[in-house]
Amino acid sequence: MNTRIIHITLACVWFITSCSPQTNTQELFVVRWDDLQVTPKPSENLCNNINPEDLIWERLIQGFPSYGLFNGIESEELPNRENLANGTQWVNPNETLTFNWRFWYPEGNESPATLRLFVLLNERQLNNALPEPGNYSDINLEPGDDKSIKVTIPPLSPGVHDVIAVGIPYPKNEPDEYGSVIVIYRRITLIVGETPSPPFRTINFTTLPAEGSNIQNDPGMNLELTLKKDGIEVWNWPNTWLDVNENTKVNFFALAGHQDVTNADAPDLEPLKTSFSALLLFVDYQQVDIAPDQTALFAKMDSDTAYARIPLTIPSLPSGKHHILVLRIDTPGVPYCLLWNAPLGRILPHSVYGKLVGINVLQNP
Amino acid sequence: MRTKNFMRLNIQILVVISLLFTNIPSALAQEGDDGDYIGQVSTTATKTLPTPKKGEPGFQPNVSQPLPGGGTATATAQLAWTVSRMDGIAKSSLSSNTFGVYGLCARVAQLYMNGAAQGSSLQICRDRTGGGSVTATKSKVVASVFGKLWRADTEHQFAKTGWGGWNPTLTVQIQL
Repeated sequence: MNTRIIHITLACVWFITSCSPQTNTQELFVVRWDDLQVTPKPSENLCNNINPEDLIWERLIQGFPSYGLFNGIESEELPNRENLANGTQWVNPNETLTFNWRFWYPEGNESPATLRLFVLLNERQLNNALPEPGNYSDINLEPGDDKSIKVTIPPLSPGVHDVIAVGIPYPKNEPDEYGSVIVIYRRITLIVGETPSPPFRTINFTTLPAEGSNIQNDPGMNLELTLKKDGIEVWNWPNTWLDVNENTKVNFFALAGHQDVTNADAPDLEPLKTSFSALLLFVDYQQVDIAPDQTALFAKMDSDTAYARIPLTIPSLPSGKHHILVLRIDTPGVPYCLLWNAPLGRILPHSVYGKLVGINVLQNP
Repeated sequence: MRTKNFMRLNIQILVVISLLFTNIPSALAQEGDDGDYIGQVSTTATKTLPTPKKGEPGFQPNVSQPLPGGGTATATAQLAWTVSRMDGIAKSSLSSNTFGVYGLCARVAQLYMNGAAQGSSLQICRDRTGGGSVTATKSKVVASVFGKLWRADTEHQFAKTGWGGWNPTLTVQIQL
């Protein structure tokens, strides 16, 4: 009799542990020094200063006569700014700030280029930050062009703010059948007023449950988009566009996993246990909510997360072709100068990835 | 009788415990397979694809870029395979006459097989001046690499300290 009870109990324990969810998706989490696995730095000496002369554009592009695109951001008032670190600048509160986003497109390029530009402030697309009214501006580059676009940042409250200038080349071209897109970006951090302690923007990160496991050798994903509820085939491959009827919502999934950076000069550093990222959604290059009443999904993933599956919905769109862009920003809210701070130190994930796919809404007969 | 029951109970407990841990042996087995495969690489002829798919002008050249102050930065995307393994390789390198320090990074953003993502590599970075390079590799082991469409997207970073840089993105694709 006792034996039978023990058998039943053990079977129940096995069944319950097999079926229980792996992670609590509702846990909210604010990043701390320990989570970044870097040595805490005093607020008054957060990063090494750099020489403003190193940022003189003409020096940067000197001897850059071939092809490709070189871009950078400089403050209009750079000579007056003494407190300047790599990708990080200390500024006064409640001042409108202007920057020059510069593009050098050498003569060796065979044909003109078009870029669609927009600016994110704390993961939100800014309105009227660029010369053209609205959320984005286009720029045409002819071979040999050295062009500058003015970026206007509204007055900021004290604290840490991320500014990311994003450019998408050839925005009107058909999407790639893999969803691949080139994302040209510059990320800078503006620390307004005194450096807070700890020097991070307060963000509530949501823990994402792992669907794919690195331990089990599942494929790791920076960012992929799929229509499958349980598969990993990309979007509508091999078709470029997904045809849908009018008045139809499109449900799809972002697959995103833990990210780490190996410093090749410091290979013995312990791998990052947790990574943090923000996911943003754009329809025709205008940001829309990625979740109910949320313009950004702030995700926390542990090192075993090869990928998590994040459900996304595009509301019904007018007939015609539409570009759907998803961006992933690594380690938001952490000053850029801390992301890559020392040659032999930890390099934190600092990339911006994008996936661009197409939806073709068919007109109802 | 009691001894017999006790032994039967022990065996059943072991069965349940082994069911609880079924994932662990499979993970270990996969690691073992990988290890075996890596040992075979040096003895297997590897053919490489030196020519990435031509992309948009200015953004996806097969990329070699003169740098300020002399020197050359080169980004390379490569697919290299054996009969049963496909490697996606991203390499960012500086020629030996490069002046100044650059932040170099390379990553295989994704390796695809017939439209399904097979995984990305870690991003590898380092501060480097003349002659330095970083290489990131993502490998996929299959029964046979042939009869499949393979593609690797790679990302590269050549950043000057400060707020400027060059970030080529490359694609290489082959139907085997």
